[in-house]
Amino acid sequence: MTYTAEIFSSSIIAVGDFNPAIFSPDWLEINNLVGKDDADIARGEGIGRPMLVSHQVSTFETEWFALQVLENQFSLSSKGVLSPALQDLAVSIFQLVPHTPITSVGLNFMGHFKIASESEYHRIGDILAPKKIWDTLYQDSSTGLADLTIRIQQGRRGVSLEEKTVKNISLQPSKKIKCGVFMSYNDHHEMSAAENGLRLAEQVSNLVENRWQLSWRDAERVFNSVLSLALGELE
Amino acid sequence: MHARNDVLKTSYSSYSNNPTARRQGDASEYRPVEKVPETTFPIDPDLPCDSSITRGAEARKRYEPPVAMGFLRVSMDSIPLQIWEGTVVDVDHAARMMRVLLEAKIGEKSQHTGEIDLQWVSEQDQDLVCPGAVFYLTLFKRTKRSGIENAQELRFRRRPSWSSAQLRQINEDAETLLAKMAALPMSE
Repeated sequence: MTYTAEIFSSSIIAVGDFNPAIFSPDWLEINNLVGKDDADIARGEGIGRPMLVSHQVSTFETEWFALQVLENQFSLSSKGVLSPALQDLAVSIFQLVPHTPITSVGLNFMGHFKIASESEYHRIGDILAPKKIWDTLYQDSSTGLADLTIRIQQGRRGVSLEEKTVKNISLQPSKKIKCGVFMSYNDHHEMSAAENGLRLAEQVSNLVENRWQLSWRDAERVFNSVLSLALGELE
Repeated sequence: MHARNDVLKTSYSSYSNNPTARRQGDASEYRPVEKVPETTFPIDPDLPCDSSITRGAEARKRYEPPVAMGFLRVSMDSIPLQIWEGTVVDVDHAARMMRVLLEAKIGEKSQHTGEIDLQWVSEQDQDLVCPGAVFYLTLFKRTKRSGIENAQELRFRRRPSWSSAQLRQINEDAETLLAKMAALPMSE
């Protein structure tokens, strides 16, 4: 059985030193990264949430993305249906601010999955986080999985682990779907000094261009496999 | 066991203490925070970022930006069923139609051509419709309180002009290619 998310979204988050005041709807429109209608919505002239653009924080949204930039974090999140347009927007933004010192970037994918029955729903939690220890400690109580994160690094534990590229896979009960499971996939990359003459933001731009769709496919594979394996549908 | 550290900063929001809200994007609120530099925001006078700060200067109070206690309240309600990356082949403005080449992004499906009425192109994207332009046509399922509906979205790709680094790379590639080319034979 293939598990397909009921709700799926993505978020591209970069950590570094940003100048939030740059990131305004006008700036995106002038650089032709969004059209007039999107810019109007982002400026709060439509259905969007009122924008805030200042030296310390910039936050606004259109019908298809939300942008929030703090002095130390850039977050671009999809709204509505996810499409490669989000990737294009991130790639383009980072191209326009090549001097920004970005230390790391994460390609995030989130999915809410509906589980067929309550027993299967609990089985997933019990397989991924056995309750034996906790049931011993709290014999008259109910124990359940609230948040589980697994980190995946290339290499071997205790010998050599790749620190610059890490995947964090998380699982929680879904807040949006009854008897549902929420899973998130974080493809994290630490940036190093300029490579091949490219500045850090240009490296990030290339990384998003080259990795985002691969990470999307891998996230779908991982989400489906975790559920299938937990429910014993795969050997 | 691995300890959680700064790596999570690029995961889906790192500010909320509630792990569920932190990742699933609920409970967005902003709380202004006042931080005193001595303990939370050390100023290194050696850094050239502010010429007014000297080694002997008294650190001034700094007001940090509002901290997002949750992430942006982003509505997540859709799942793409199929995404095509389309390229405009030609445009018939009289017939209000564009002929396109479509490549499926989900699953293994062969490339095919089609015609799309320009009425499906949003007003803001109309001036992008020209041969060679790239767009995304997405069929998706949207979950609402009232039920589930299928819908479609057509969005044209927008990219800025080529960056200086890209132009530099193209020039380098062109020079490499040129260097590998043999001289044309001389006619007798």
